[in-house]
Amino acid sequence: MREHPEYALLLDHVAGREDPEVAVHILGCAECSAAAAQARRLVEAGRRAMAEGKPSRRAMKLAMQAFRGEPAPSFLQLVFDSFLKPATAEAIRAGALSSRFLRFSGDVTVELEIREGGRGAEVRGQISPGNFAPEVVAISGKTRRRAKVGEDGTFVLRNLPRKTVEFRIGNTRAVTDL
Amino acid sequence: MVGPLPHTSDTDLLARCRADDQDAWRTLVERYAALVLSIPRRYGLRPERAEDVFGEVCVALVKALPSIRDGQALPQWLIRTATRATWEAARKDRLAITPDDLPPLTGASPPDEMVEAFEEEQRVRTALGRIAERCRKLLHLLYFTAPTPSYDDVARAMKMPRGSLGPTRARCLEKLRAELDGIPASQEPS
Repeated sequence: MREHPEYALLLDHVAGREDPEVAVHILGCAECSAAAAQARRLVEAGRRAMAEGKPSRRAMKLAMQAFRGEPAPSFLQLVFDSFLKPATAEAIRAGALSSRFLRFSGDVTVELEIREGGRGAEVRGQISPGNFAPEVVAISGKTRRRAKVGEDGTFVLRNLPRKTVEFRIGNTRAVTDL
Repeated sequence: MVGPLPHTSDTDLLARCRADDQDAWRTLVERYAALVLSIPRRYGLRPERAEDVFGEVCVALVKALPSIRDGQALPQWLIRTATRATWEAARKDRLAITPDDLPPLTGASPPDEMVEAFEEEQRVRTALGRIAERCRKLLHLLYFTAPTPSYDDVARAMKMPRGSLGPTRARCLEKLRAELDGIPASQEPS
């Protein structure tokens, strides 16, 4: 290739559609080598830029609340945590390995019973008041499980890894090891 | 371009935000959401924590509206504020943040090369947002998709003959370069 490759060909080349003629030309042409480096920066920046999707509804809600001067939802304070206490006799009879009682500011309580499930731990819980949150989210690394909260505040999360798990319940969160 | 006022400049949007215009705020937020969210996410914060950081940056921007009057200073201001909030969040969560493709955050102030990298990404994002949807899709497929699809795959996705790719690509690239040339480099926030 004697003539300088056009910019589109340089972009193609650096984007992964390698062309041996372009490669040889770049090696012997300082001008095209600089243009190829610039094309590579564009491709890399474009790939990173396009990787980010649209903001979630929650993110947009936070932004609009900020503009209206509304306080951002703050997490309730965890004021009591029983940590992994032994399950009650009744709970043991029902198969629970351990249980946990959490009390948050604002008189919100969460009871958790941790059981052995088929593929990981199973957590049965009850939130009071029952209408405090519509769902519970459990996060551990890349694992995420959601459970709807019933009218009586109960929920069941299955197949949780036996690791550190963060529970998000409305505007509260608590971290525990399963 | 996104938001209810897609063709309004950042400087005008900032002025309208100061006058309590919600459409201007929404446009500004949608224009820069990807930039702000990409910082905590690429530094390894979980999606919810990244959104928390995003919310904090929004609160900080509302407070700073009276002092940021030049739209050209906005990208750098957002990058620095989002980095500071990311660092704080990571510190609270006791997370070590050392991604492969970014310099490690060792304090609340971002390294200059990181600011430049995020600014460059935003320039490309803005330029792509200003060209026609079909051109954007074509360039995305040709250059900004990994792994790189073949020409045949691109032609199929674009529902156009393979032979038309070259001329269309040339036109679209010209538009993208014109937009990139028209975006001034960001300025240091004053």
